[in-house]
Amino acid sequence: MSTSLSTVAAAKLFVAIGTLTSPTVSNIPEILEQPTRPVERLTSLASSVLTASPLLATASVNDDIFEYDKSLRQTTVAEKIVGELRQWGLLQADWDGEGASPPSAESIKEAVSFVKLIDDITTPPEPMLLASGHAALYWNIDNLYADIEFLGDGRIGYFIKRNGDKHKGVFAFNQQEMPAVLQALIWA
Amino acid sequence: MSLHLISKKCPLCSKLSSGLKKLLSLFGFGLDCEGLNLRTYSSGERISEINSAAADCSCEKFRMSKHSPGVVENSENLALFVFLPMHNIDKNGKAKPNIFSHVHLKGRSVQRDTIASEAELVNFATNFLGDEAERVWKGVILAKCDDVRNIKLENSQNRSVCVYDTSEENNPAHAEIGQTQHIEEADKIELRHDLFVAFGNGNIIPPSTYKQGAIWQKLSIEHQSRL
Repeated sequence: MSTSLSTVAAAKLFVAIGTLTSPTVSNIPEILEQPTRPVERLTSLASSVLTASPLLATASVNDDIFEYDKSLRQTTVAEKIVGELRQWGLLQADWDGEGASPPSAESIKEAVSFVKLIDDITTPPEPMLLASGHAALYWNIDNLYADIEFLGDGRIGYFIKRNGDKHKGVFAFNQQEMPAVLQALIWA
Repeated sequence: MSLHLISKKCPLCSKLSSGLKKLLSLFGFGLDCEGLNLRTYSSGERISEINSAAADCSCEKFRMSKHSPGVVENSENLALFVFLPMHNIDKNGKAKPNIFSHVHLKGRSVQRDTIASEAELVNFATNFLGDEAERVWKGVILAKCDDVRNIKLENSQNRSVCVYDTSEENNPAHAEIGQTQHIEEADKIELRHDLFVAFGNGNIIPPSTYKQGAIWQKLSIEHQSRL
């Protein structure tokens, strides 16, 4: 009997580990592309389950294990921002009741690419949708005020005020690498 | 050859004509601000069309609507009503600078806080909230008209925005902020920042505090319950 229980527990453990490779991302519409999951998250999730044998042994049904898995996989800050940006793609013209233009798909795509390139998300930007339909990212923390607008044609416009110094301009953004000027001004 | 002569001649003519127009417009000659308001009302490029016809805020000196109680004075306060979900707010409960992004294209609607009657403001809020249950009035952000009109980009002597009296039949205290012809692409984001600062850094005055709650108290229970 005890052997049989151990077999069941082992089977549950096997199933649980097997499901870890494809967790779902919450709060993001299914129509949207799944963001890349951070590797360190997976590592900690796997090790947590593997060391949680008392919980697995006492679990009555597989659902308990799955609930436990979900609680360990939180949506990251970057994923939340990407989700909000992409949801704007569903809006129509006059989304603000004041005659705004429809969101620009290209501008949203550029903003998503930018968010994915952010290394340090400890001071996350706030996404903004402009009346022009352009997406923008905004920081207003301590000595930093930054507003970055994605112009939808491969260019970024920015205005940054850090410790009283003002910087502004427009430049090309290739969506592959973080522009050095913004890296220096925002995350200095 | 003749084309060459024409191309040489035209810039001078154009400069003279432009200078004359500016001089005349200072005294109101040749300007039809009411007509301009009506013609551009539904245009997606309203602000640039106004700037083309009446540069340097010329129409600030004239009523732009037959419903107007008078031009917007520098001493007036301007109130921007913040509604959800259209005006999204940040995690600290402040308005974001995107609330000013209409200044570039169609004009940023504001209410003339100083001259608006309570009944007009109640009517305005009620109409905007309407029957859509998700619409919520979060409060207002306020600025002095003088501060707004004095906005200039760094290292520039030119004004960045105009404040027009664009009264509407059902909203006589309606005014609009539009960028001037001096704002170029790279300046727009700085302008949004400057407006954000002029409007109290996005700090929202809640409905229960704005005008001692006078407007809030006159809204329907259903509209109040959305907050």
